[in-house]
Order: sequence, then structure tokens, then C-alpha cells
Amino acid sequence: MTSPHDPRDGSHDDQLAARLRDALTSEADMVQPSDDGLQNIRTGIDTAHRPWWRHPATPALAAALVLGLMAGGIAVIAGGGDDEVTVGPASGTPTADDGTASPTTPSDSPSTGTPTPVPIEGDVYVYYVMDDGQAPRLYREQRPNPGMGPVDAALATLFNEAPVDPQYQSPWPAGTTVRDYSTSGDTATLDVSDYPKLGARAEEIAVQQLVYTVTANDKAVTKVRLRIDGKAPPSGHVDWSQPVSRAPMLDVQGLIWLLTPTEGASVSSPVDFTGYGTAFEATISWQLRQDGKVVDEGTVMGGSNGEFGEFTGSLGDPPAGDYELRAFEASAKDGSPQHVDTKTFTVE
Amino acid sequence: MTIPAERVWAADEAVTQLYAAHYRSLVRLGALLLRDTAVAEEVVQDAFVAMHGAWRRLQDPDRALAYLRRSVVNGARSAMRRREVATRLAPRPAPDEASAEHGAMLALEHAEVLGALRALPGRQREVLVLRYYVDLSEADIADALGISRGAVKSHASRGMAALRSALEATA
Repeated sequence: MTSPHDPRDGSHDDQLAARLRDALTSEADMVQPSDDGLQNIRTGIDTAHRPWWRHPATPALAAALVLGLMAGGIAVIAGGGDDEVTVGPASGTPTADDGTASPTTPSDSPSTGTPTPVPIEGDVYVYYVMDDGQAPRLYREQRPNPGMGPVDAALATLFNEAPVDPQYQSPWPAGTTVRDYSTSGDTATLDVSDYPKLGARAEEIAVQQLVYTVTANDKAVTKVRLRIDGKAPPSGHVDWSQPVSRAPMLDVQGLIWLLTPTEGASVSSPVDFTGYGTAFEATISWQLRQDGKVVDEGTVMGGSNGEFGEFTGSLGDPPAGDYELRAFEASAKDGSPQHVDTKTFTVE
Repeated sequence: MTIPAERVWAADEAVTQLYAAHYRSLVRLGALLLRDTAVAEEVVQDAFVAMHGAWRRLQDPDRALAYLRRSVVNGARSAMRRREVATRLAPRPAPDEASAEHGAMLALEHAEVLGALRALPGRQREVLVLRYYVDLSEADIADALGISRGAVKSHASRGMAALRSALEATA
């Protein structure tokens, strides 16, 4: 390792650097780690390697969460692979602090391995569509329930209300209404008043938007049978003769989302962000911009190898003002941003 | 031996090797950022646990060390923020004030420099500690903090300028 500094120009800075170096070295020398470090690490590894997300009620989960809370924001997140333990660097709020609202609540859908989020009470999850530059994909917003059943409320929002994030869209005809919704076992039958006329890929995404939204808000349901005014949908591309299940997340879900700050939110310092996604080697890049200029940037760890994981990061204490936060995967080829999600917000 | 067993062995071996070579210096790095050896140890131990889990894609001691440093800096930052919140709620003396108790002029000088360092914003403090204690290159600091080299440069020069004016003000 080479010293980054050339001490020979004899400047003021180097005197200061020497003072700093001495002070740090002397302070560090007084730090004597205890002898049980390796033992503690091995215990931690044993705990982390149990596939605890499949058994959320076991003590291992509690231990892992306490570990994450106690020891510096290293949050153990359901990465999927049995040795994938993802670090949540700069995690101001470890994911463990509120098990019910965590978008990656590990107890969800263990049978499919798909960490479907549970809406917090009173809110519903609505999926919208955004083209991430390569393909249209699904992105989720948490919206208030005006006081209906969760599926009705979510679909009413999907059909009639613009997404909070202006970059998201819904291909369903505005004014579409829910005529009937019923379930039998894990299959929902949904009758709506209209159906989008789209090309193959867009129709597939629109259908998945509906299926993801219904299944996110009714945990008992995994398949949706769709009817348009009591009849089979007039689809040119999707086979509706059978109920439709969720397509694999990697195929249709947005690869990188920002969850908080939400679009248009006002937040106070210090500002943390959370998101959900997957990227090569779990490395998700972020940029904080103001007036189009990058004022801070960094990387955080999300999920990798096709597994989605929650990520958290810290923006520190940016001065009051309006900002845009971007999360993306830097292209392995040229570093260009891929799968970008952005949120604008205000620091008070 | 099956392949999975061999992979686990490799990760365990990596932990043992890297622990022997770097545990102490990583705890010291954490302690410089945190001023709390016990919490620094927890942060470093968690970093090792995470590194073990990530070993299959790291596979390489240098990359693993960079990963550990990144985890320690991030873990220290989070621990510090929680402590700041706790301190705001219930003021208490800062831990590890030992350097001021040495009494000697040298210790006073060190305490003054470290005091000025601790008054800096987090990023500037992190950059200076990584540069002047760990002796990392600009590129390695950028990697450890997850920021660009340009940002490292600007944090370093702003940090040094602030440090100089703080020390001149107290002189």
C-alpha cells in the first residue's frame, strides 16, 4: 500500500498531516481489542447461516435482528441464497425496527420464495408501470385506503388516480371500475369494466400490474381469473383461459426502486433512504442531485444474483432545499446508469 | 467432500486468515471513527459475519478487505448516528477520553488535534482517518466510502482546511 501523500513539498498541509497522523496513531495504539472477537464472529456466522427467513418465529430471527440493531446497521436481509447475507451499509434505520412495515418482511409467501410485502394497516400497495430504459417494469406505491376492502381500494386507486411519482404510469383505461371481486381458495375472480388495448409486452405488463396489485393486498390469493363484464378478456396476447399468477419478479418487477423518501416528501436531517432491488454484485449506485448537479453520491448493497433485497443508505445532513435522488445500477460496460428510479423531495 | 462443504470451508478459512491479519487494525479504525472500542468491536465482528456470507462472490482477500472496510465505515456511521440521538436525549460524557489523561504535552497536542477532527462533518472525518491512519490511496478511500475520487479529494481538502482553522483558532 503506498502512501497517498508526498511529504516532500514541505507545505503547511504536510505539517498538519504529520500532526494528524501522530495523533491518530497514538489514539489507535491505545485501542486493545478483546480476545473473544473470533468466537463472536463464528457465533454470528452460525446464526446468519440458518435460513431464518423461512421460519420467522424462531429465536434465530430475533437474534439476527438484535444483532443488526445492536451492532452498527449491518442488517441481515432475506437475500434468498443460503449464504447470501447482504450488508446494509449506512443503514440509519435497520430493517428490523418495524417488522410489519418492512417491504421485505421475510415471512411472506415462503412457498414461492417471493418476498411479497404486506401493506401496513390502512394503506394499500398499488403497482404502476415505468419503462426503465430497457423494458416496462412494475413499481409499487403505498397509498392510503379511503375505507374499502384492500383489493377494492388498491384497484380503485390503480384505475382512477395518478401515481404519486410522475414517471410511473398505468396503462389501464382511466375510469375502469371493479364490478365484482370474489375469492375461492387461492384464486380470485375479478370482474372489471374495461380492458387495455396494447401490444404484447405492454399487455403482459398491464396484466401483471393487476395480478401483482391484487395478490399484494389479498394474501390468500395467488391467481387471478379476470372477467370483463362477465366475459373472457378480449386479449390478443395473454391466455386468460386459466387464472393468471405472478410472473417471476426478475421478469416484470422494477429492478431498482426507491421506497423512501417518497416522491414530493418533506424530510428533516439526517436523511436516510430505503429501496428495494437487485443488481450485479448487489451494488446499487445512488446520486443526490440539486438543480441538475450531483452534490453527493455513493453505493449501497441491495440483493444480487437475481434475488431482490432491501437497501438503505444515508445522505447525511444536506442543507435545506429541493433534491432529486437517483438509484441505479452502473453499467458494467461503461458505467452508465441502468434501471434508474428517481424521487424528488425537500429537506426542511 | 461435496462442493458446498468445500465452499463453506473456504469462507471459514477466509474469516480466520483475515481476522488474524486485520481484526485489530479494523477495530482501531472503528474506534477512531466511533470513540468507543466496544461498539467498534461489534461493528467489526458484524462486518466479518457479512463478509463470510459474501465470500462466494468476493473470493479474494483484497476484495474482502475492501468489503470489510466499507462495512466498518458504514457500520460506524450508523452506530454514531444512533448514539447522537441517544446523547441528545440523555447527555453523558463521551467514552474513551483516555488520551487527555496522559497529562503530557504530547497527549494534549493529540487531544486537540483529535478534538478538531471530531468536530468535522462525517464524510470529511472519514476521509481523513482513512488517509492518515489507514494510509489508503484516494481510489481505495473512494471504494471504502462508496463515493467518487473527486468527492474524496474535495472532502479531504475541505477537512484539512477546517482542521487548520480550528487549530489556529485555539492556538
